[in-house]
Amino acid sequence: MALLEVTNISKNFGSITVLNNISFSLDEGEILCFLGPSGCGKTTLLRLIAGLEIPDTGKVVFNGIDIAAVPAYRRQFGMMFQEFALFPHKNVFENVAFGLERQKKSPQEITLRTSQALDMVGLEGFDHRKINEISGGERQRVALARSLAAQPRLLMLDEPLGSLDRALRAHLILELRRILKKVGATAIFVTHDQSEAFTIADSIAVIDRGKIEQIDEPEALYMRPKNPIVARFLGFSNLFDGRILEDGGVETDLGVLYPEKWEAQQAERVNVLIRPDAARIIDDETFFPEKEIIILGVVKDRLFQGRSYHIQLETETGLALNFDLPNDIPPPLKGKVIRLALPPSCVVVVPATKNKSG
Amino acid sequence: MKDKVLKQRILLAGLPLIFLAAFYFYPVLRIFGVSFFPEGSLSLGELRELVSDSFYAHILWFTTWQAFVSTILTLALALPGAYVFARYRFWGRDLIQAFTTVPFVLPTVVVAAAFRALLGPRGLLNDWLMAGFNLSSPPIQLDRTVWFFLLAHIFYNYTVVLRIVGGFWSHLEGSLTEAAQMLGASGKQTFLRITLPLLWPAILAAALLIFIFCFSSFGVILILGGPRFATVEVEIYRQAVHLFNLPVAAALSLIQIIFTFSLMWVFTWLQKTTAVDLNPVAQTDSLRRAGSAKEKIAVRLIIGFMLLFLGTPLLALLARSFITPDGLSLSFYTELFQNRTQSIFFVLPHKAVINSLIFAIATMGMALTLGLLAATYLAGPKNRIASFLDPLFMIPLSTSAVTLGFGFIVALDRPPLNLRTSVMLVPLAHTLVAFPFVVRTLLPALRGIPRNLREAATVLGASPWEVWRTVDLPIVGRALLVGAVFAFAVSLGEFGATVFVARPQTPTMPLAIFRFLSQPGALNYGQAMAMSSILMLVTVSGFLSLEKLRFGITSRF
Repeated sequence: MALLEVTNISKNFGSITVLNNISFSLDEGEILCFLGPSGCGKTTLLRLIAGLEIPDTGKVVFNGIDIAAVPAYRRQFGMMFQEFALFPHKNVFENVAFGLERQKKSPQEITLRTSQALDMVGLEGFDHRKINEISGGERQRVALARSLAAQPRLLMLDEPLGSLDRALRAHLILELRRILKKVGATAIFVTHDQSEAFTIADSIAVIDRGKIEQIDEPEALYMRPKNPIVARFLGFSNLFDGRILEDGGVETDLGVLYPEKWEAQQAERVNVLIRPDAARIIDDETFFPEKEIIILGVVKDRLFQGRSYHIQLETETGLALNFDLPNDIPPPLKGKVIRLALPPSCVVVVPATKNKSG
Repeated sequence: MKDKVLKQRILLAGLPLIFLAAFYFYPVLRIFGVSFFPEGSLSLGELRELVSDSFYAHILWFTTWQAFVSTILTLALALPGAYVFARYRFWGRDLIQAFTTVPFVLPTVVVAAAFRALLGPRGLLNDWLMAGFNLSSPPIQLDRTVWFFLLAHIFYNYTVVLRIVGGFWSHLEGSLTEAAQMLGASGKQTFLRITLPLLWPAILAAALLIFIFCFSSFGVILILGGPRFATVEVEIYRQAVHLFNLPVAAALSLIQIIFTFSLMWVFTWLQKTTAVDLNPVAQTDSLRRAGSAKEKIAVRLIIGFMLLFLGTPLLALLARSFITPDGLSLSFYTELFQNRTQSIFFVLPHKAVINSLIFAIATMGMALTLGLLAATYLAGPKNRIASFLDPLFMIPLSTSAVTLGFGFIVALDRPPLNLRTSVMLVPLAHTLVAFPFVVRTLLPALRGIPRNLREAATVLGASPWEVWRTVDLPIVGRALLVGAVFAFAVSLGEFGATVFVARPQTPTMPLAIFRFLSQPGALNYGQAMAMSSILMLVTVSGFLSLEKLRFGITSRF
């Protein structure tokens, strides 16, 4: 049985529905990530599990027990807050020891476990530093040490890297995963940044407007987004209509495409997604590689983005498509007509958005 | 679960509400009662007499006139100072700024005593002029003239302009005026089109605040103006204490209540519509040193005037307390502890010091308890009750001290609340004055605690009580200390209400000073100076330590 089972949770603030019938489960030792735009309800969901908010309907079952009646301070969960919420009137040691003191541990045990927690996050010797004397990255580590020291049964992290700068985030997210896996923590990580989600999570729940749109392992999510909302949130913009043919092809404005594989679709009308990577320019107009998809279009704009060139392409049929081309080739000029070849694995068939005719 | 939380929260607000009901609203209602029903039945005679009698119309006119003139003169003298502080960096700036707040926090009787010490008939300046020019009578005849207390009002309120307008002004210097100049505006155009329009609300707020202070000014006018001048406050005192004409005093109090309430209402409205921060943190990044010789001279003149004007009365007070007929000595101080048979006191003067300290400690305890309860309630979730109680808790601020004191003697001398003989009347009145300040000090600190700090403590296993003990209390600790010093100092210096409610056997220091000052003789005069000096030093050191605490808070969070 799963360690945490959330069933049919809904929450309204006044007339606004923040969470709509949420259900999911989480196994021990697993890291789950709530991924969604700001305001999608992911933080509220976290606070409901923590006991800081009360759901309107639904159940939170932990370790087989419904914890609705257990107040937040008796749940023995841990939470890392967006701005870290370190106590400004306590030093590093006192912050980390706070949870252990609440558990009425002996002074020796508090000292030992606080030191262990600080060692683990690489802050040996920081015990007596004041919170306003340490850097943002160090604060993040203190916050992590504080939530881990009390050995929570479930650790929740609410955009814990949100307030740090980009370079630091990329480094700390790897560190975070290493530490969480080392202590075997069961954790829920909330973020709006998909690269963070893909780095840290064992599975990802994409949340939009209070609903879980898809919950899957990172690879599956990336390769097979279940619907256009998930696809768009993952940054895929090459999304257009298609019609399934009997021979297994999909008829689109780009012609008939033959995706490598897809889950059986019930409707005839579908959405087709072309992932922007893995495309390459073909100079030889007579070269037709087998099975590859050829796209012909005018370069509308070209943006250098460091690792790649971002190309905006307009096809003959008026479709606007975006591709990322490697930067080791001479980039095509604006206004030039180019030919791109893509492997069939770049094409994903997605169910069409409901209430929108194919 | 939610209902239980709600009940606990209402209990928090309960005690402050009961306190206000018994010691504020009930006395104010009694004032209404005494003015409308002087003999137990409705009679508008006293009120009608007040309205029709030109004597009372004159009192109201004079009250308004002196407040208006005080305000204009204060602005005229203090605005250059505000500019210097907003614009320039100079040696000793922080120290001078801290010093300029001293007059504002001094008890009124001390200010009155200080002006007597400098410019009164026995004042230092007259002494020197008489000795220097061999004069037989003092050449400066300010005592018992309107100019004497107007001068004291300017002295008192100078720093209001400096703080509010200067603090506001400092934000306008720098990038904003530079932007105007880059767009082609001359210095004069920049001032007229950018600085002045933006500064106007701050000037207006400062002016209104000074007007309100001067409108309900009492001690300074009573002592320095003498019997010829009567403002509404002074007349309430005379009618009630000297003539024992309670209905007239009540009717005057009613007028005072109506006026101060309207003024406070206008002030609150102005503050809301213009969003002027009354305690702005001066921006010091754009400060610069005076450049040209002209600038340097101007800055030095303004600072020099400021120091002279604000400093000399205080120095004169100290000096006067040591200059005895037998030369420099401590005899005025030691005299405070001597029992003279001819003493007009029932008690020794030094007993007044002890009384004041006891009252101040009692006030501190009560104001902090009530203030902490009220502020904790107000800092909680916003709801209709909280937004109703917030201004309600502030309401004693918009009632003059004399009215509060008068309300006490007409309301608390009979059942259901017969406290006429209780020594508690004085600390209760002082608590009424200090309580809104304590709430205002604690509330920002409590509201400033990020919600996630409490939640972090909760998730780490702290119960609501433990959260309050380990997070809220230590963080508002400094604010609590500030509130404590404030309540203590307010109690030590309070005069307007105390003069009504203190028992003759238990005078406070301001009352003792008032009695010394109203008696003839070098010894009484000297003792007034000595006791005023003690009161000044205690108050000033309290508030300067507080200033330091405030700095501590801003640098820490």
